[in-house]
Amino acid sequence: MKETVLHDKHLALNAKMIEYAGFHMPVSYAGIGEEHLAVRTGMGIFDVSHMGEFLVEGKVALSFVNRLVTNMITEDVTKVTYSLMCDEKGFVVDDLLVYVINAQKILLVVNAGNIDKDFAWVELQSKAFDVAVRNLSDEFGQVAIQGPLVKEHIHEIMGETGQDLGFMTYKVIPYGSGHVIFSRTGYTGEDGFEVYGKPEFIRDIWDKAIAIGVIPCGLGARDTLRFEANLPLYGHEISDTINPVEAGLNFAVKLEKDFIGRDALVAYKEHPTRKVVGIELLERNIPRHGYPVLKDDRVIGVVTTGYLLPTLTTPVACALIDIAYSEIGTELFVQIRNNKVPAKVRNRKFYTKKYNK
Amino acid sequence: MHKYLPHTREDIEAMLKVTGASTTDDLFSSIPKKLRLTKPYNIPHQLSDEALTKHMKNLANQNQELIIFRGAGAYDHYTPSIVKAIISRQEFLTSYTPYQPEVAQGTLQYIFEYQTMVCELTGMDVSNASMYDGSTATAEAMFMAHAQTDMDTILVSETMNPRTIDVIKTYAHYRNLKVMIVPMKNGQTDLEAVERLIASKMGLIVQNPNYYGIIEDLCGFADVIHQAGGLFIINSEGQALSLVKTQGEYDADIACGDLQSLGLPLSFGGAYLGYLATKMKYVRKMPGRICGLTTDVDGKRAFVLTLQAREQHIRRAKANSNICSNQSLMALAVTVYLSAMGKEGLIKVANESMKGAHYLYHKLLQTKKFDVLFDQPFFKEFVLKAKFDVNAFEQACLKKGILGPLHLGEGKLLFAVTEKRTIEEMDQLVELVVNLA
Amino acid sequence: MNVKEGLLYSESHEWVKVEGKNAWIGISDHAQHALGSVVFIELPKIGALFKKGDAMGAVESVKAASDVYTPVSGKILDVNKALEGSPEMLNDDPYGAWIVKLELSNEAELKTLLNAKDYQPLCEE
Repeated sequence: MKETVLHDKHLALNAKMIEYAGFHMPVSYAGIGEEHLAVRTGMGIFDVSHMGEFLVEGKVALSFVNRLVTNMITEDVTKVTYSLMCDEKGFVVDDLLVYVINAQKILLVVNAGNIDKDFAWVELQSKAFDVAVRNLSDEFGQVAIQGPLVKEHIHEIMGETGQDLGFMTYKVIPYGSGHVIFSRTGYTGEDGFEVYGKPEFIRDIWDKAIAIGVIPCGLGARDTLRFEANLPLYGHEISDTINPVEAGLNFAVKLEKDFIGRDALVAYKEHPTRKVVGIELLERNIPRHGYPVLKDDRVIGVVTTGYLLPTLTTPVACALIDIAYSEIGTELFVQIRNNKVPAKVRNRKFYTKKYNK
Repeated sequence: MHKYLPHTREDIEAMLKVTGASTTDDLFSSIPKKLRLTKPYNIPHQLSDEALTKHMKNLANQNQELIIFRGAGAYDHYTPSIVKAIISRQEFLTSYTPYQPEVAQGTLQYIFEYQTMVCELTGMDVSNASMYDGSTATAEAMFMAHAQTDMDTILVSETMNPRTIDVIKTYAHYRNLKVMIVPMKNGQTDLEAVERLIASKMGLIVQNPNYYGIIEDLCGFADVIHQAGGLFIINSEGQALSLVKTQGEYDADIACGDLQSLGLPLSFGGAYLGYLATKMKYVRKMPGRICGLTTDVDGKRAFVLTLQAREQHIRRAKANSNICSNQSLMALAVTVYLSAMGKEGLIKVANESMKGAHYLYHKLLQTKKFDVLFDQPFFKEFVLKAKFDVNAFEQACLKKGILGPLHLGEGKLLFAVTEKRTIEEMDQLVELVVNLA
Repeated sequence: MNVKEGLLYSESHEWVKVEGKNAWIGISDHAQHALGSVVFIELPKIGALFKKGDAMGAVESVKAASDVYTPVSGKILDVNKALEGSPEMLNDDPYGAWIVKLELSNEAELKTLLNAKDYQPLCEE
């Protein structure tokens, strides 16, 4: 297992550790419920150094990245763009963030579990373009500091208020003996920042945050928070057998642009067969990833993610189902062990996001 | 040039001297003259090495290598090089029947491994050493159900490959058994129809994915069939088992089908590979060879053909079946394929077929020249109803070196896509549809 | 890990308290610690019959669901309904928060269970 640059910090805090995407990672410290609530009401910090970073360089870097990803990437060097990469059949290779440093230098941030696969894919696609692609994942550390109170205290950690940064924007700021990428982004549905930089800077930032009372949060809360905020997770709502249209990510797919998989998605849209919907259980139980979804006696889909959230009264989930049953209010069942638990289709807005827009 | 038996004239004379006959024909004197062949065999003289090679080459050049969009039981998947390399070894290629375990441990070991892998693929307890093909394996499954229940009618789903149904009917005919077809509902086996018909039947045979490529929902079938005292038989092709629910998960009693899709080339129709697997309680009703694991007199691990009292060299007319062989070389090929691919590789390659099929499905619908026939989940095959002349389409495809979909009648086309079909090939097929008058 | 004296234990970390012909069953301190905060429990139906080793219910933490196995065969006489509303009781008081009360159908099975001393090493694994 690989260790992140903050590994010893987690052990010192007595974190419960697990193996995730080849890394030894903290799943929780004080407890998933407490950490989830800390982010929703105060401040939490996550070690996300396991994520992957690729640098695309060359005269035609912007054209290449636009061919590679589904969303429109402009030359705006302040914007961070959420996008997906698809294969030629329209299925998702990964979702990612795109940082345009300049039109010839673009940073792609991908999921930890897909680093090797994604790099092989990006390298393969780059052969048709005059660009160089480098995998810098081992050189970056990264933390995410999230919560409604973060904006009041971030300057104590970073020496920067970030008040000039709106949601999904970033800038490069000085830190210590160098610089870090300071980005108003996150995977929790709360306002907050993510910082990318050299390991020694990230370690320093972590210590400062803990010292001022930011709660350390692990992968457990990371998943419950992103699920509550209706943000997709690769391998759950998107995967190499799910396309972005059925996942409901049309906002990040610009079909007017040419990109790998575009034709397949245009064709799919004319006759869609599945959809990721929200579901709500009508009885107290927990609908989890992988549980079958039924209409009467027929299996018509599967739960992609589900939890009993500390902040909601009814158990909710996202499920990939046959589009014929995707209308809100449709009555369904979720198979939980030996029980057919009644449920119904609802919208996926489990939580109102609090971004700084 | 020699005739085919390599005895010299001197060898023959020496043997005749011992027997007391003056010619070889004299050895057949007990056969009445009117039954004897009086003219020579109509077999051409042997060819030289070079002439024979030329002859085979000319035959081979008549083959058309086509881009294949057709399945219906035989699929154009890739055979990894390692498969051919291993089965070409002389120890495997020509070695024969393993009834003498003392000289056949290698063969028996791979048969045992093959049986183990079939159980892992299907979720059943025990497998035999293989059958000739999926259709005969399915027919034998019917015999097992009959032997177990003593009922004389089998239910067969209308969604099965009609050629498999034909073989089942042939086998049934010669044992005075009856075949009743269960009508389908919207491309799936109709559970309500099964409930109505299952009483006093030996069981039900379904195919999953079915002939139309549709992934059947077989939840609830086992309960209905078992309550009526019947056996639940599911026929699934090998590759599909990496993705769809297995026979074991559906609580089926017998698993059968063809494993051609697991690394066996199309080979113009065969040899393919039938598998037959079941729950332990039915093992003594299984036909064919079964390899078992035991220890020899020195306590060393050994493999043997076992439970031979089922087979006809012991039970004669009372044997479970007349088959006393297996499809060993193909079983070895599939075992090599599965070992090379592994559990993850198997899923990966199956996903590629499925993704390609769904890509083609949506692109074909986009042409607006098809009607959807069944709105059902499918694996690597699907049916669309053409709004154009299907014969003209087939010819247009062949002109471009493409073997198009199978015409099921009434304009219904059965398309198959495997991992070998590239985006370019699929787009080319779509182009042909678009360009049809 | 706290291993309470006077109880019998299974290798799957359930405890059994025998009272005449009946038994109370719960999960040990080791089990609740390994689970983390319990957020949900599925209880069996009163009157249900189970054989030793059967899964009779499930406890769930945020991340995972775990079956609860019965260490002895019998008929369910009562279930601790309070746990449905407050499943965290299993974390706070694992030996007090019983899960089921069952009528033993085969007292000989009790001999196959572990006493506190023999169960202790299993918690150290």
